[in-house]
Amino acid sequence: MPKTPTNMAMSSNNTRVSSGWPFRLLLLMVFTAGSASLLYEVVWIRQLGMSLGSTALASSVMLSAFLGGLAFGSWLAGRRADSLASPLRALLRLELVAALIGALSVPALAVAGRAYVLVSLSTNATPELSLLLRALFSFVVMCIPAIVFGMTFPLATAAAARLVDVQKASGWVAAASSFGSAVGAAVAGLYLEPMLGLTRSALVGAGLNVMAALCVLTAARMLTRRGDLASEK
Amino acid sequence: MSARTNAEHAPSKAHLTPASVAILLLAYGLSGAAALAYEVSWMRELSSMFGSTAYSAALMLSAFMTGLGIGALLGTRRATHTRHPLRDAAHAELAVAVFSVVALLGLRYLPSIYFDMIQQWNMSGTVFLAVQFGISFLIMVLPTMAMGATYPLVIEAVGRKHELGGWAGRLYSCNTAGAIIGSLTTGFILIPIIGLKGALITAAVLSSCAAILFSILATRLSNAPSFLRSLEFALVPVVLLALLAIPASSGAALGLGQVYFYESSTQYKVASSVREILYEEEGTYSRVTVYEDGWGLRTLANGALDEGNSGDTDKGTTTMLGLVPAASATSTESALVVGLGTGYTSLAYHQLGFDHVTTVEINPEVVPASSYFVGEIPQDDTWRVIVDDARSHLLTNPKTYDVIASEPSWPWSSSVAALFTEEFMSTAKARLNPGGVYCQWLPNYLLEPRDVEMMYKTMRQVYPRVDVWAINFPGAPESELLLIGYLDDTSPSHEEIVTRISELRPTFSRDNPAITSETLSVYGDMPGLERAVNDPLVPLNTDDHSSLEYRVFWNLLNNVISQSRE
Repeated sequence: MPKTPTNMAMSSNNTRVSSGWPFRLLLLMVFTAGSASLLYEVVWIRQLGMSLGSTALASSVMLSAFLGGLAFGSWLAGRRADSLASPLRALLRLELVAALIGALSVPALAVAGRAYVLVSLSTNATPELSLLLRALFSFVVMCIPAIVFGMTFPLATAAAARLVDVQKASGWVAAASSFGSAVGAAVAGLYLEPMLGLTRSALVGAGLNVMAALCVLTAARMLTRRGDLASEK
Repeated sequence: MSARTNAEHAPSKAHLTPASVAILLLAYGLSGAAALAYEVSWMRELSSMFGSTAYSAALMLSAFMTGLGIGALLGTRRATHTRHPLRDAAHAELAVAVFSVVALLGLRYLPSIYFDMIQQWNMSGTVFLAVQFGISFLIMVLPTMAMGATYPLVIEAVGRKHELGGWAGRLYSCNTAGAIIGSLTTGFILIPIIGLKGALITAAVLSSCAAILFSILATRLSNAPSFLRSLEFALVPVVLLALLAIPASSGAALGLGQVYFYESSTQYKVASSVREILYEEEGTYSRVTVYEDGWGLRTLANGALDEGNSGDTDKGTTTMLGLVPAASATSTESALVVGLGTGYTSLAYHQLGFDHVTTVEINPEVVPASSYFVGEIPQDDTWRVIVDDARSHLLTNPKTYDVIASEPSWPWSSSVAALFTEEFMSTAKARLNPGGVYCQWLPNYLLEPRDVEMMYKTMRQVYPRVDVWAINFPGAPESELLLIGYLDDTSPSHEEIVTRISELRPTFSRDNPAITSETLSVYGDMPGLERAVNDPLVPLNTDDHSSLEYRVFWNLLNNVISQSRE
C-alpha cells in the first residue's frame, strides 16, 4: 500500500482503534497479574519456610517448584493460546482461579506445612528422605498453583496479538509483566508484609487478581460493544 | 513506527526447521540460566552490603525486574527497525556479558562509598531505602536492560501473528527452565566451589554462548554476517580477561552489619590491613571468615556481619546463654543450642557437665570456623553440631531436652526472624522435658522498650512464667536480654536460681574477668512488662506478622542516623 496521506490516516486510525483502551486494559491486567504473582512468590516461600525450613536448599527447592510451575503453565497455555476462540475469556477464568488460590493460599500452606511435619515425624525421615519430602511438598503446594500464573503470559500475548502488531504485542506484554513483578516485589517487601502480615498480604494478591479479571472483562466488553470481537476471535 | 511500515522493510518470517527451533530455544534457555546466575551473584554481594533484610531483598528484586521491563521496551523499539532481529538479540546477549564486568567493578567499589554515605549522611529511612534501590539499580540496570531486550527481538524474528501465543509460551518456559538451572547451579555449586568471580565468569560464558547461537540462527534465517566475521564477537575473550583481571574480594565484607564497629570505610580498611585471615570459605549463604587482629582478638564474620569474637565481653554474653538456663532448669542432662556462631554457648553447656549437647547451625561453613574459638567439636553423643534449620529440626525430630537456648543472629533477616516468633517458642516448648526451660536471647542494644514488651508478651502466651535477665558490662548496661520460659510456675524460685548462678559462675569467671556478680541482673522494668501482657495495644510477634524483624531494622537505622547527627 502506498504511503498516501489518506492511507496513512487510515493506518493511524486503525492503530488507534485496535491499540486503544482494550490493549491498555490488557497491559494493566498483565501488570496487575505480574504484581500478584511476585507477591505470592514472596509470601509463599516465607510461609512454607516456617515448616520446610529456611536452609538454602529448602528455599531453592521451593523457588524452583514455583518457577517450574510458571514454566510448565506457560508451555501448556502456549500450545493452545493461538487456537482459542477467545484468549480474553480464558484469561478472565484464569485470574478468577488465581484469586481463589491466592485467598486460600496462606491457610492452605500452613496445613501443608503441618502435614509435612506429621509425615516427617511418622517416617523418622533421614536427611535424604527429608529432602525428598520437602521437594514433594514444595511441588504440590507451590508448583501446581504456579501453573495457573504461568499460563497468563502466552494467553495475554495471544490476546494482544489480536489487537496490535507483533512487536507491540510481545514487547509491551513482556514489559508490563516485568514492571508488574518489580512493583509486586517492592510493595510486598516494603509495605504489605511489614504492615499487614502474610495472610492479609495474600488477600491483597487475591484482590489484584480480581482487579486483573475486571480489566479483562472490561476489555472484552469494549471489543464486543465496538463489534471488534471478530478481531479478538 | 506502525507494523505496516516495519513490514515493508523487514524480511518475512523464515520458516524454522526443527533444528533451528531447538537452537533458538536452547539459546534462550542459556540466556535464562545466565540471567539467574547474575542475579544470584549480584544479590548475594548486595545482601552483604545492605544487610540480609526483607527490605533489601524486595528492592534488589524490584531493581532487577525494572531493568528487564525497560529492556523489553527498548527491545520492542529496536525490533521495529531492524532487518536482523536475531543478530540484535546476539548483540544484546554480548552486551549482558560486557556489562557484567561493569557490574562486578561496581560491586568492588560501591560498598566503601555506600558505607561512608550511611555513616556520614543524615538520611531519613525512606532516603536510605531509596539509596539501596538506587545502588541495586545502578549495578543491574545495564545488564538487565540487555537481558530484557532479547525477548522482543527473538519473537520479532520468529513469531507470526497467528502463533505468537505459542512462541511466547515456548520461549518463556525454556527461559524459566534455564533460570531454575542457573539459580540452583550458581547457589550450590559455582559460588561455593569457584567463588563469586568464577560464577560471574561462567555466567558471561553462558551469555556469550547464547549470543553465538543467536548469531548462527541469524546467519541461517536472515543472511546476517556470520559471527566469525563479526568484530563485536572479539569482545568475548576481552570480557573474560577483564573479569579475570578484577581481583576477587577477600576477608569480611563491608556493609550495614559493620556500622557499630567502624566510623568510615577508611577505618575499616586500616583495620583490615593488619588482620590475619585464619579461615575463609565461600558458602551457600555467604562468605564466612575468621580473622585475628594485631591484639590477638579473633572475630567470626558472616558476610558483612560480625557474629562474635573471642573478647571477654562477647564471650561472656554467649557464656551466659549457657549459665542462666542451666541454673534455671531442674535437670541438666541435655541441651539444644540454636545457632553455633563462635561456639562459646555450646562449650558452656559442655563445661557445665551436660551429658548431651546438640547445636543446630544452618550455615555449614560456620562449623569449621567455630573450631578457631572452641576447638574441634567431637560430633559424638555428648557434643555435636547438626547442620539444619533449627525450626525445621525441632518440628521434625521428637527428641526432647532439658534446656533449649536460642541465640541466632540479628532478627532483621527473614530466615532468622522465624526463630523469634510465638510459633517457634511453642515448637520449642513441645520439645522440653518436664522442668525444662527455653531461653530466648534478645539484642537489647537494637530494641526499644516497646519491642521488649512485645517479645515478653509473645513469650508469655506460650510459657506461664518468664524471667527476664539483663546482661551488663561496663558502659553497656542491659545491652542484651535473656528471657527464660518455664513450663509451669512451680519451677525454682528466683532466690534458688540466683544461688545456683553464683555456684556455677566460677566455672567461667576464672578464665573470663568480664563475668562478675554484676554481669547479670533482673530486667529493670518487670512491672512494665507485666502490664504489657494485658495491653491489647502491644502486638504479638507471630509467623504471620513478624514485627520484630522490621522494627530491628528501623531501630538500627535510627541509631545510625542519630549517630551521624551527633
